[in-house]
This record gives sequence, structure tokens and C-alpha cells, in this order.
Amino acid sequence: MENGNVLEALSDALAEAADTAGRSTVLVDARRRMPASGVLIDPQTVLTADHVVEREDDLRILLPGGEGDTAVLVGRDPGTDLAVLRLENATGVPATPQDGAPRVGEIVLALGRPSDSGIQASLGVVSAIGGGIRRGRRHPGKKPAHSTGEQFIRTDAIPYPGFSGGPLVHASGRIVGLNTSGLVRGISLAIPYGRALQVAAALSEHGSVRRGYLGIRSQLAPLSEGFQAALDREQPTGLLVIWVEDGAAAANGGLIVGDILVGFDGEQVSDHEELQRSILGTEVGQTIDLEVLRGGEPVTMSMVVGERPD
Amino acid sequence: MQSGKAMFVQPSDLSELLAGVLPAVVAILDRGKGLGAGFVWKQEGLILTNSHVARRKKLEISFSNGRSEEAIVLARDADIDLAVLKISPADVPPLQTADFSQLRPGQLAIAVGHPFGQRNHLTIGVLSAIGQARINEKSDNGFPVIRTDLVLLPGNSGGPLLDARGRVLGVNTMVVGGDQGFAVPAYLADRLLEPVVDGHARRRV
Repeated sequence: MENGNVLEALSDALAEAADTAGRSTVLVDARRRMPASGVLIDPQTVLTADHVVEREDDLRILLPGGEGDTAVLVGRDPGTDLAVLRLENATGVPATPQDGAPRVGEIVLALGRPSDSGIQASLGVVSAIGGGIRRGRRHPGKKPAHSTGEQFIRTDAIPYPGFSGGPLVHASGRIVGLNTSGLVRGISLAIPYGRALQVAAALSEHGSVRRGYLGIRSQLAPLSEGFQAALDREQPTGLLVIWVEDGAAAANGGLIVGDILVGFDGEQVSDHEELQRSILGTEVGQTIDLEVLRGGEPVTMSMVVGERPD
Repeated sequence: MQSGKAMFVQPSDLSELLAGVLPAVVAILDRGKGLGAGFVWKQEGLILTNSHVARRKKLEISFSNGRSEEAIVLARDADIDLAVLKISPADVPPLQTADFSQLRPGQLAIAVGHPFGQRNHLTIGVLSAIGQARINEKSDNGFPVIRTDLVLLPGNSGGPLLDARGRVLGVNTMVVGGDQGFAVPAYLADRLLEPVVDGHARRRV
């Protein structure tokens, strides 16, 4: 570093990142309490957190330049806590996504625009990336959130009020996630931006997210050495199928109670989280191969992924 | 390190930054008990701190090298929670002040203070926003405050909020809701000083 001033360079980079990403960060006024934030994913489309959209009419957006507009609700998904709004007249500058997945330890800024006095920032690092920590308090009258196996970015940035729906930003100013703090008290969560864009595309097209569904219940089961020998690989656990829904994907594909699920489309499945992740990566109507142990022998069966009921 | 009237810091890391500013950072004591922090602000032996840590007319000031001085309170303004103290020896170079109009959300913000009496602790975060505040609820007049994501503790009060070059952005003042640090821009202290220099300490207590 020239002049040895690393700190000043970092400081400038962070301020620049807040400025750059801030140009795509809007104020979303869609609830009774203080407004929250949103990110422009194209000139007229705002991605925000589902839980900050408490009403479906009279949605007001304030753009970074100070221009106000109304928006319509395109679709919402409580499972990922995302909602898509479309500006009625105004246009803005879409955000630039960061390539690749965020890494633990990376320095990030959480941004929000909960007031008309400018972009707000808080600093953190990516603490962890994982799933299964969703236990949301939900608004009265709404269905409780349940684990959907979605991955989250956890950071130690302070989630200030109104930061929900705002971007989680890399030092380059590119966006790595969307803040959804408000799901778990005291923990700052963000949805990886790539996944958020996938959900946004589904919401724009169908108004909802169609999640893959097999129609089984299972429990974790240890695999004996004999079972592992039959699989010809080391895999200490699988999922023992204890219930199969009549008429759903798994039943139609020939899965029966007592089968031990060990693989999904060529990927090993050794616990519920791996199965959730595999199903999440599929589309409704797609044909997949399930690998199971039946009577100690590996069997592969094909089935068409169904749609998860609400 | 010294150029003109103010101390310049060109730190390559936080320990260098801390070493550069520490000679000008003080602890403000009351009968040997820690009260808060402050820093040398002007060449004439003037020290800036919070009004709420300077409630007595005379206070003991302790420098990081162990030296102690008696300071008199020149002026206080409880509305903006600032106080100007004076020590007679004026040999410690003051900290350089950053240009308030150039502050940007996201830039690094560094607090130096004595949380819970532990001397010369450094805390780092970013500037969250420039806000408006009324510390005095009776006052209608707002004034700008620097909001940071720093977790400030008792003993940080009155200490400097610095930028990445060790220049003063403001005086760490209060914590809102436990996770939002507030600092009063240092330039606001000028309005306490002007009447003092004129010999008419309007806000003197």
C-alpha cells in the first residue's frame, strides 16, 4: 500500500461501497411502524423482505435520488422472507450482484434506507453460512414460518430497525445478500443474493415460489458396515422412510416405508438437511433419481418432483 | 508526526493509529475516580469532552504517559453535551480534526476511551449515518450527530471518534438502544469556545 495507509484505503472502499450499493437501495413504506428498505433488481423491480410488507395496497417507495413512487405487490414468499414490488412510474439504478458465494470472514456492510436522510450502514463479517436457524416470530394472522432448508448468511453486523430488505454489501459495492433480520432476534441474517434473485424470478413469474416436494417423512438411521459395503462407499447415516403420502411424488415413484434413502440425483443424502437442500435445488415437474437401500440392497428409482403444499 | 498546529497520523494499522493519537487522549478523573475521556483539541491547552463528565469546576486530567494536570472547566453546553476544559501547560499537540462535510456512511469510525475504567481502549466500526438529535428534550433546536455502529460503554464518554487517519470526527457521547453509538461533531464545540476566547464565557457554569 502506498503511504502504508491501509486503514484509509479500507475506509474509503467501505464508504464507496455504501455509496455505490446505496444508489440501488430504496425506502419501502409498507407497514405501520417505521419504513424498511429494498433493493432494485431491475430499473422498476424492488426486492424486499416479506415481513416488512404488512399491507398490499398503498405501497410507497422512496428512490435514492429523492423521487417517490407507488408500487404494486408482484409476489411474496414467507419461506425465504422475500417480496417483489414493481414501481408504477419511476425507474432506478439496479444493483450489481457479487459473483460467487460469500465466504466466512469476509468484511461486509449491512445497508438500509429507513428514512429520507440518506443511506445507513453497519459493519460486520460473515460469521457463518448455513440453514435451519429460522424460527420466526410472525405477524398475527400470518402463517408461522417453517424451515424450508434455505441457506442464510449470518453476520455480526448490527441489524438496525428498517434495515430489513436492504442489501448486504461486499467491500467492492457488489451485493452478496438481502437483509432479513427480524426472523431471529439478535441475529443478523441475509439471504444469499443469487438465491434471492431466483426467488424473485419465480415470484415475478408465478406470484409464489413452487418448492419441490416428495411426500415422505423420515428419520435418521445409522448404516451398518454391511449396508455401507453394499453401497460401496463410506456413509455412516441415511434416512429411514417412515411415512409415504398417498398419491405424492415418492409414492408414485415406488418408494415404500422401510426404505432407507441414501442418495438424491447422484448426491449422497446422509441427513435431513442434505435432503432439504437437494429438494430445494429441483424444480417442480423435474425427474430425479432416488437411491435407497431396500432389504440391504441398493435400488435406484426415478420420480417426478411434486409441488410442496402450503 | 507533528506538522503545523495539529498532529498528523499516517497509520498503516490500528496500533499505529492508537500510538499516534494516545499522547493527546486523556482520562478525566474526579477525586481519583474515572469519569470519562477527553482529548487535546486546540493548541492553547484546551481539552474537549462531554458536558456530563465535567460537572465540577475543577477536574483532574490524566495523560496516557501518567502525567496528571488540574483542569478548569471553561465552558459547558449541556444541550449538545460538550465541555471545554483548560490546562495551563499547552505543550501537548492537539489532534487534527476531520472536515465534517466530507463524512460518508460506511467509512471507518474508531473510538478511543476508557470503558469501565480500562485505559485507552480502541473500538472500531463504521459511520452509520449523519442524524439529527435533541439531547435536551426541552430544546426545539436540532443539531447534527454522527451515528456509528460502535458499542460504546461508560468511560467512552467524551473520548474522540476518529477517522482512519486518526482525525477527530466527533466526541463520543451516548449510546442509544444499546447498539448505536452517538458522537457530537467536534466543530460544534467552536461555539462554546468563541465567547470564552472573548472573555465572555456565556455558557460558563
